Amino acid sequence: MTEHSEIAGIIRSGDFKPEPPARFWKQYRFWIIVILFAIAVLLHYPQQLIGISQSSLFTFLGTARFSAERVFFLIPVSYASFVFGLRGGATALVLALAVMLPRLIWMTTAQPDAFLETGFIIALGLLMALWLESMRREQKRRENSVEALQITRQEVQQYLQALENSQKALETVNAIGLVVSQSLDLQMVLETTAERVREVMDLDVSLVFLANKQTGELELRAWRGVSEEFVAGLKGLKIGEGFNGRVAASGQPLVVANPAGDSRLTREVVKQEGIFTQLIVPLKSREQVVGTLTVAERYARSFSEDEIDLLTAIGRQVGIAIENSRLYQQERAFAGEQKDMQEKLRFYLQQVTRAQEEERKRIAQELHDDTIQNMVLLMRQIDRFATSAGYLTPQQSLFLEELRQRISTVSDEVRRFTQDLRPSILDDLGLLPTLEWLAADVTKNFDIAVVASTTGEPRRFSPDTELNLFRIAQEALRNVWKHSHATMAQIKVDFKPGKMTMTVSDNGRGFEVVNQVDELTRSGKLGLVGMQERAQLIGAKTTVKSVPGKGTTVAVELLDLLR
Amino acid sequence: MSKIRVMLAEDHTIMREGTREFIQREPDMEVVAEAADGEAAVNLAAQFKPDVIVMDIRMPKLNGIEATTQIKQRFPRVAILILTAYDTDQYIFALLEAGAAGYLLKGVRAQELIDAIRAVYAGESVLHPVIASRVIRRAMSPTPETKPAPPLSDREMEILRLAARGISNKDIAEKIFLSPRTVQVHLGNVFSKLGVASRTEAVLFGLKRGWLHLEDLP
Repeated sequence: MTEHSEIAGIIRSGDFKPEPPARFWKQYRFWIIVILFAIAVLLHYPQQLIGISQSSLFTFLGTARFSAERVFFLIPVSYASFVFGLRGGATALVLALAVMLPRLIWMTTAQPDAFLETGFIIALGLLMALWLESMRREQKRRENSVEALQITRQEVQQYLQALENSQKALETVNAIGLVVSQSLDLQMVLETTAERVREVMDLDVSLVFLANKQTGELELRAWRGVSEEFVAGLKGLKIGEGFNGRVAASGQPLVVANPAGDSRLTREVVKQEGIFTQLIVPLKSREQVVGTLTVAERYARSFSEDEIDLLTAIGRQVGIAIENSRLYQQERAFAGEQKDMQEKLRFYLQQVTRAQEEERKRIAQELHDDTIQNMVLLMRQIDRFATSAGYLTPQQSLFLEELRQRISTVSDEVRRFTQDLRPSILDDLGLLPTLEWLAADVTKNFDIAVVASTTGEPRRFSPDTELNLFRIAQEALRNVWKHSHATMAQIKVDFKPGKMTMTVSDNGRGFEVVNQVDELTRSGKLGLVGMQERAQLIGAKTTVKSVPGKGTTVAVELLDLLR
Repeated sequence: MSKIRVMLAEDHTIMREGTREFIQREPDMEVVAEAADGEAAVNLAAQFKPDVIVMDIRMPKLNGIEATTQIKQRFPRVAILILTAYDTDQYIFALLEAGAAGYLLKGVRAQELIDAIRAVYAGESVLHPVIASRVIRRAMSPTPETKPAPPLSDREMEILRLAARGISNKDIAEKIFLSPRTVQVHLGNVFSKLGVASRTEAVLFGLKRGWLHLEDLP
């Protein structure tokens, strides 16, 4: 009775765990087995141990069967195998046999019967132990597979999350790059930067400062998420002063964990505004710092390497764009120097174009080498897990299959994204197959029948030339599906001795052609400017023919007299 | 029986190790060489004379297409099985032209890869199901050089020309004095004669064959 309440107490106190690390003799269940075994022994040798004859004991217990005491051994044996597995069961069984043997050999009257019965009990005990063991193993395996499944699920979820983040970041670099490289309005560049940076990094505050070389001051020119008082309180910040001033002076990114106790802080409004963690990167053009870009949060957070890299990359693009639009504004101010300025402007546009291509290539490479390969590896892991995990319920198998399918879909998406950034076939197979691919891609995605065809004897050009020709075709087709309402389009490449002509034409609604870059910029036809820039990069000539209602034709003529 | 001697050409180390592990588990296969770029693939193929090469496309130094071309020129008997992340048509046709015996996508299950190795070793060709259907479609699609007379009637051609300009069935009907229902039937006949499922596909077909021109006016 006392043991019982003790056990109950232990169970209640919450010490009842399936696999405690304690040694076996420290487990109460071991002692239950010992007690059960002792009772069995007592029942087996009542005369010798407590001086009561067996028959009177069983009459007392109300049992008629003579050798029920042998059967009783099965209780500690099976409980032992239940608690300690096969080894526990076998040990108990051997002990039980050892205890039974003396009576069997020297004391019993009906020896053959007793032998049979003992054998039967041993066999039964063994079977019981084996059965319980297999149950235990099955249970264990099931727990393991469920646990592994859980881990896989978590990994996949984390992975998908990370992928989503990085994809969003990449898209932003591209989006910002596109807007800022095509815009010549300085304030618009700055506002776009402030807006998009805050959006993609999911932060409260973004600030864009410009360095004024004449006054030696940093001017806050665009901001998001801060009060007017804050903006007013940052007037007259010197280069070299405060956090942004330091970044402007050093040209190195800076992370500020907590401005409150920082001796570099010079403006009290930062504390009043409740700004906490900050990440500041320089805006650079031709290795000159032209300003700084700050993102900040009102609570403590950390910035990962990836985030710092991302903001630095954005800073590079914005820096070039700022210089670009400044030049443009100067150009407008000094009409006399127009020609010279236009050349410089062109130079910068080319720089932006090159920087963008490099960035795209790098991102596409990274996506292919890391992201896609890792997703393939993940699918392989799932396959391996599904074949080697052992027990899986139909739901679990279905879950794994769905997981695999999902990863496959996501990796297809990433691949498509990679191809948009920079089609690998352009590097591997060259321009003509890539134009065929482009035609099919536009047909598929925008429901416009596009055909690519070649006439003459095809030849290859330098990778840079082929890349720019491809981008021109891509941009021309982008105009087709974005603006033209066309149902058909054609890309024709014609090779003549010493000359190659590529035309992209459509049967869309067309537009009024304007020729000055200025005009194009003002009327928002930046895509056409981009095409002209690219053509000039490779020494080609573009012409755009368009008549309202009668379609558009973009032609690129490339003379290759050297061949 | 001697084992199938397999060579791997793949620049991603973990991926290559994974593939090797699959193959080594098979009693009738062994991996005899591994190349991490296209140039090494060509050299190792000459040195080890494998039966089957499992090859990636995007590799440093020399890409899988050029490596396949060079290896097949020098050792026409080796079977090359492409294992890549890309399902771009242009890759597929360039590689089949270069002499690759099979084209699998990297998401393929281990067992399918093993089966494919055995199949190309036995001289069969193996294409991922998605790819096989595209190869067939490509083989059947017209090239600009082959311009047979259109199987369409004059009326059907007229309707296709109008449809190509993005005009709705109803407007086509008004233009040529037919009921919209009849126009629909004609257009249905065009689709089934050309073996296409949509207007855009039909227009693409006509454009490729030179029946339609961008300058066509309704």
